[in-house]
Amino acid sequence: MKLMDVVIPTGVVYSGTVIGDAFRECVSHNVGGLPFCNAEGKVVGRFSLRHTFKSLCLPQDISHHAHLLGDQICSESAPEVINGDILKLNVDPYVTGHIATITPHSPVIKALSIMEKYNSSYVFLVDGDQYIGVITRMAIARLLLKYHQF
Amino acid sequence: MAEYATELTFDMYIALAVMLGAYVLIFSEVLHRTSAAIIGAVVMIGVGTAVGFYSQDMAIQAIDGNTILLLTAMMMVVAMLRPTGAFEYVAVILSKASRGDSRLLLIYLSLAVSIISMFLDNVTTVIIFAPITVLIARILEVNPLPFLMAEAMLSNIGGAATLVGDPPNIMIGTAGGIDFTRFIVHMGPTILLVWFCTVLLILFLFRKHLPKVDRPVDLDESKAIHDSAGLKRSLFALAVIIGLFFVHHILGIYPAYAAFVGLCIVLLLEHPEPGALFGQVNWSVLAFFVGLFIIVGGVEKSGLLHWVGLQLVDIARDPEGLLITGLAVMWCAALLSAIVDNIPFTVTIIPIVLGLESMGINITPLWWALAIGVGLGGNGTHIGATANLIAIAESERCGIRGAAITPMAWMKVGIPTMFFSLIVASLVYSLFFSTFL
Repeated sequence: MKLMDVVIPTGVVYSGTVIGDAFRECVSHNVGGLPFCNAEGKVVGRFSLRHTFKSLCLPQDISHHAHLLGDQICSESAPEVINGDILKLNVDPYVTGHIATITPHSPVIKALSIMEKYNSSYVFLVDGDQYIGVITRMAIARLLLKYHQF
Repeated sequence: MAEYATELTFDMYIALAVMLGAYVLIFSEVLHRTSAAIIGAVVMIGVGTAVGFYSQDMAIQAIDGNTILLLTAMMMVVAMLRPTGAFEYVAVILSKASRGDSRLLLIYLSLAVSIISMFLDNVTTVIIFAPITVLIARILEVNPLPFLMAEAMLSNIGGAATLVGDPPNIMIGTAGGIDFTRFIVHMGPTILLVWFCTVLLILFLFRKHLPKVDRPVDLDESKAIHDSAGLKRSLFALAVIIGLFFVHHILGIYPAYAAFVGLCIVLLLEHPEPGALFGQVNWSVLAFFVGLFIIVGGVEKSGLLHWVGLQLVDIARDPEGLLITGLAVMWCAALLSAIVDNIPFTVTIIPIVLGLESMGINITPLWWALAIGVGLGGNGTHIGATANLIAIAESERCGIRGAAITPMAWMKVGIPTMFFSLIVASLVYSLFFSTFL
């Protein structure tokens, strides 16, 4: 199995892209994050659904005590998330500098290892400065099932 | 007994220069305080050995083993207790008991933090209580700022009541040969009064921020306890430790040994992973203390601290002068603790007080004055105590509008609170001075 067989080509986000567009791209490709590129097209950051939600509506006091929460706080807090206002915000403040990447020549097990190490469900596939797509655990599992007709 | 010069000598100047250099590094935060203390200790040993007033053996003897080992053992016990969820359970229960009365909530949470801080590290206590406090305030739709400030300040005050509540107290107790019971008997009533007065003052200062709210605390305390069997075992060990603290002087054991007995119980009952246990010990704090002990040990061996004691002896010898000296120690300790770390100050002043004893002065009241001063002074500014910084960090992180505690916001409440608590403590100290002798 080669990584090029499981890569999911996606769009990228740039400075000024709104969260709504980034969300749509993630949802349409079933990926948890997208590369954030500079004007030259080089990957310089990462837009992630998890990090964005965490920044916008999951302060540490809530997430740390998630097991204690009743239903009321979850339905009433972060109204800007519930009414969709966040979709119009720029992605820039929510982009993280940390980028986990892998090359097309790397084995699948390396991709899985990197995802495991960084507690992520995806990793970006790049060839030099060229972004190719996203590798996800889901895509690897799907291809395994397809290859072996389980 | 060592012979000390009555005039300032070259050795003293050298030792003073090394200590001041280290303290400038510590207080200016050019380097992390632990790094600065380690560098200062190494320089003190090197220079002291070269000049001839200090040695490696003396440096090792200068380390207060009881303080270091007691802190280590208590950190490990807390590391076992913390993941059980007991602190969160208490916080949720108390928040529900307050029935939406913010003032009651503030009193309950502060009381819990204060009592826990009497026996466990108050920084850890605030680290655990601050996030759950913010969550409770978020649910009740009240500003968490007064709660966070009250918890930090009252944990500092609570910690001042016992021998093990605050690292300076451990050092004072060890140096002065003061046992746990004697410490709490002398400090307890004063600190209790100061605590009540401070709570009243905080309620007054925050009266506009503490409304009565008609919202339930939508948290399920039954989910808080992760490991009830582990909690019972850890509480049993803690109870043994606290019990031994009360009788350690009768048994002739150090408080550190008492803490290690309890730790052994936890180790036997819990079989903790070494990584989980030892990883939770704040080695940085312990290394900082070791560095300070070595630095001050060098200054002491140079004779400088004895010389400082000689300058104070005439004032302190007069019984009325002793009261004034005690009050001066209390207020100086408090004011300095408000602006700099109280640990270096305590470590430095302890040998001076001990030096006064060798000159025939009754130093017992000075120990209490010192403990009160360093305990209450930390409330004055945001940097006065580590617990304050924890509260501030949590207030900034929560993202609630108006909750962030700025240095100015802290001082607006902290300075009146510090002065008020010091005045109360000074009155008690002066009126009942004979009980502190």
